[in-house]
Amino acid sequence: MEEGYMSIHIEGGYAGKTLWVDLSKNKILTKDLDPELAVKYIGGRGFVAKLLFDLVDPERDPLDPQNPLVFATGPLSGIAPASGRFTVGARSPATGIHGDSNSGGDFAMELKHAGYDFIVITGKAQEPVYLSIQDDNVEIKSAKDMWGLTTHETFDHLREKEEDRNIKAVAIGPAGENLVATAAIIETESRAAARAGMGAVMGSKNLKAISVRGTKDIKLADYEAWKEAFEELLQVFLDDPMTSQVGRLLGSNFLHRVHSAHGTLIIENGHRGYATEEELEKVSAETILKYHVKGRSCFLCPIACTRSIYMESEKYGLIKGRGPEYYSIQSLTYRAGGWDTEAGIYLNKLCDAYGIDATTLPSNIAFAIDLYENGIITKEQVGGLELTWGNFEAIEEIIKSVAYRKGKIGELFAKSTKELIKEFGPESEWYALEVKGLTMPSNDPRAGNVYNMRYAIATRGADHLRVSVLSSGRSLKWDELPEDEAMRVFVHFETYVTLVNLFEVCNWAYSSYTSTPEIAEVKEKGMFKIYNAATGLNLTPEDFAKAAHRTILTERAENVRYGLRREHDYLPRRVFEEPLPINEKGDTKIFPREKFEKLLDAYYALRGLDPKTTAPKPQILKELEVHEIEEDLRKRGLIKGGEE
Amino acid sequence: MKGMLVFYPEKCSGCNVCSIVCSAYHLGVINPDRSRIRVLRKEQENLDVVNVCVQCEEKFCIQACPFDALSVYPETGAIVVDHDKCTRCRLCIKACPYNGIILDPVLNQITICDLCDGDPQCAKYCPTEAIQFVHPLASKVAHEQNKTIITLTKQIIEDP
Ligand code: SF4
Ligand code: SF4
Ligand code: SF4
Repeated sequence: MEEGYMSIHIEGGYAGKTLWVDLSKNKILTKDLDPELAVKYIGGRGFVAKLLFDLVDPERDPLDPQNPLVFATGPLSGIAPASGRFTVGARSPATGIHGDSNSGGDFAMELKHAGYDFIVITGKAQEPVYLSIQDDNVEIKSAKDMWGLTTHETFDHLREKEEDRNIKAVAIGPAGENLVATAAIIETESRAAARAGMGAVMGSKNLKAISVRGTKDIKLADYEAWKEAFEELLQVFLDDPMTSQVGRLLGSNFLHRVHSAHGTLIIENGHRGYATEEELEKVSAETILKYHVKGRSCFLCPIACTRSIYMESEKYGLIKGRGPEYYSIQSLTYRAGGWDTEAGIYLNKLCDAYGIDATTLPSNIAFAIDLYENGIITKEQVGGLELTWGNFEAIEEIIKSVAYRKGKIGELFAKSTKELIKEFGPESEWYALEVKGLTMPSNDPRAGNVYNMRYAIATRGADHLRVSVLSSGRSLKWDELPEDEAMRVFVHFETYVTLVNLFEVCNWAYSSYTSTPEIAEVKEKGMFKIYNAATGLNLTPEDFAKAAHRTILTERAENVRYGLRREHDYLPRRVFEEPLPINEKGDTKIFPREKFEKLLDAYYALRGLDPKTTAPKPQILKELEVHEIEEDLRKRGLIKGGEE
Repeated sequence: MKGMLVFYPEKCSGCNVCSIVCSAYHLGVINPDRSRIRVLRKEQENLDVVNVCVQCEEKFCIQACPFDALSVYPETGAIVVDHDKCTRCRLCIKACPYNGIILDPVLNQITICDLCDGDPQCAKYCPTEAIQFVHPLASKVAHEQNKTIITLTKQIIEDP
């Protein structure tokens, strides 16, 4: 089989080359894309998983200059509907474990047109630099004059410096430069790779931005087959009201109402799961529509769910450009106890400009407010701030201070969630809605138990994106099924979403916004068909499922090396012990702990993980042909036995 | 079928479906830079506009060509390039206020929308109907509407 991979010939879809940049040595290398890697890990998140496993020395600190930062596109980036995505990964400074983050926009396709499937960046530049990519011309250039600029200013600057207004770029703002744990990477003004502190990794390398201009062709092995699949997919997005109406008219903000109805909102740091009609009239998709100019697309997206806004606010002045998503609005407003769309739009804009994760920093703030309101921490501990529910001035001050690490407030909230818990003392832990150091964005796991196992098992911490319920799951009475049956469906969805991540198409477009099982099937088949049509390969659904499984296990293996075990696949204690009000009638919900443990066991069994150590078992590693992972874990004593 | 392209910027989401289907249809590869229609975006101002030949009334390109290389193809109304006559002087590129013409970097050929022989792919696949293929009877209105392309393109390119 090993030799089998050597003879693989990929005709198109992929760009074919990869870029390796060492900022310490000022060295740039290009290598061919390894076909074995392509077939085994497909792309995007899969590439990131494998490269991090191979290149990160677990003994080193997350911000050690030698650690790699990887930007990976997928084989479908730029050639399938809604395919403007890429994954950026590194050992996370926010959690200390596997870190990755996904963004839409146009950067991915531009990078592929420049000829590269991924970029691996190691080392640290002596002075602020940016990476300039113009097809084959790749240079490390000074960014001294850009250090300190907001992301928007940086993009303007780059367009001037590169003398090309069509460049696409990713950049950090002041937050990334100042190694803030919740620093994001912003994509040419329109999107963010927000979570897991990837912006701080860029900052630690003195890398302000990557500017890309690509003019090369992406080849298609079979144009007719590609066209057929492209057309089918486009049509399904235009026919399904979830995409053509809900997604297009309301964007992700339609979820305020949906999640409220399910009682799964996070209001006031998780003390209530539903909003009243009066509250929803203040913050929901309709309230944002008031400022909505039109939908904006990521590359090749027929939905255009991003809100382009124009807001003339008495309080906040004129705001234009990309508006907030559901998750940032909920984090910036009612999670912190305030109901004001204008404030949400304004604060979201600030986060984008400074390069801050508009979900994680606000959830850390909501956590602190909860502690303050409950008398666990004092005004003095939070730099003299009046941290009461809905105090938008305080939130604004925190965001501004954090970006520049200004004063006590800036230093405090620049910390990761785990560091904050330590800072605020053991009593604070109860209030923190986090897993593995990453906070959960909306979707309280007390309502919808099985579904929200995703928070416990996701490899980067409390993550709502590793498993999405497709239509076929919505009608499913998941919580009533026997545990192993429920988890079988769960694993099916996890595989599907992982594939979406490997191909680097949009998770929303291909999963959340899907109204019937039939449509889900068309989407899945469409992805496979485009892949095979473009590459000229003939991978089967089983091959793809294996690649997804491989990716998940590779991320697991990386985490096991950092010391993660079963006890790290937890949910916050509150979820098991404090009933959550889910509607106005006064019903409450809780996550039964016993059920949780059973679900976890079922998951481990289905994924071939050791239920104690969570290390992938030798048997499954053999089946998936990842001997190098088995060898590595054996060498470190992390798997024992199972030898033939 | 004969007709012309008309563009409505307020509908355009900047998705680029038009540019990739155009390049795929003509070249069998995907490349917005070699497409006959290209999308310009200015995110902070909520602006998206396509650059494409819209079969303008004036035919600035034909007027500008000193070598008689450009003409209107009677069947479709699209501009055709006689590559034998064309010297790649690029005067047509300069003359077109719609930014409709490119020099294909690979083929080294002046490249202009050919209306896909009467079945415009961009209009067919545009998910928002921002670009449409309209009957010649509607051409007066269409020509007027298309002037927004000139204004917006200037606004995007010239403003820093
Ligand atoms: S290329 Fe430009 S100048 Fe020539 S007909 Fe088309 S729009 Fe007019
Ligand atoms: S009509 Fe055809 S040739 Fe003209 S821009 Fe559209 S796709 Fe391209
Ligand atoms: S396909 Fe339509 S919406 Fe998309 S960029 Fe082209 S004109 Fe605009």
